[in-house]
Amino acid sequence: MESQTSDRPDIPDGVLVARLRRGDTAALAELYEKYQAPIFRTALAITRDPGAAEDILQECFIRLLTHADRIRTDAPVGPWLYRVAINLSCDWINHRQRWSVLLSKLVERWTAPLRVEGTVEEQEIQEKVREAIRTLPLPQQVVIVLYYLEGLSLKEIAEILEVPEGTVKSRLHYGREALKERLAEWQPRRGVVYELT
Amino acid sequence: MDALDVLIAQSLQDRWGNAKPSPRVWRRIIQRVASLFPPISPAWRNNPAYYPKHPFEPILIAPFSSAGSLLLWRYDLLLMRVA
Repeated sequence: MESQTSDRPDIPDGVLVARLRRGDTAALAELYEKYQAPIFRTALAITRDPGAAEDILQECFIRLLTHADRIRTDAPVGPWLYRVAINLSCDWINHRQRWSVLLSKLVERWTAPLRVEGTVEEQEIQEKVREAIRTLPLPQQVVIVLYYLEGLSLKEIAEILEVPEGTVKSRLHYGREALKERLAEWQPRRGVVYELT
Repeated sequence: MDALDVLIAQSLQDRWGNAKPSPRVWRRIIQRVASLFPPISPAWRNNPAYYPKHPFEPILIAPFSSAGSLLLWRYDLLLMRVA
């Protein structure tokens, strides 16, 4: 699991969780420092709403504190945090009204940072890929985000989602195939052909 | 990894790879924690030694700064009468 590098010695998650159980909020700060970025990124890539992703990040760490006595101390806390973030992100997606989807899309476009690297065409292709990912069933989107954005292995994703590794592999395969199909449909219209195997 | 894998990874990484939450998230967490787990009651609340031997209800006395000092307690009592 990814964690942010730091000059401080890396205290095992189990030790920090044990300290959390005693109400030590400094342990919460240590865990937040370690996991805030990947958890936020994951929630953001699924919800595509920075405000929602921040709310989800906040909720994850409040739950970490309030559920500390139920969290294993013999394993990293990353999978648990990812699981909570994904569940909250999926709930957020499922409960969102259609009007707010359209609104957030507009806001996202207005607030998207200007990019100086890459050609306009590359940016357009990347936007198309992200749009295509958004149209996939949520379980496939989640696997794609964890695999390609977070760089997690199939085994790690299976552990987070609490499903067999074969299920993760299958979701990734079908998601990838659907993306290939959607991008192939789009390419001829653009007059550009990329070799997507 | 083939071309499609690279394209998917780049599309996600370029958009969200460096995304970080704003510092206000941690401030909000701390506020929530403080509201969920208020600090332990001050020592005077459960310690009879801090209360004057008087028939007054402790709740009338406790919030004032005079807890533990008879002189200050009389001063607070005077203020209460004036008020």
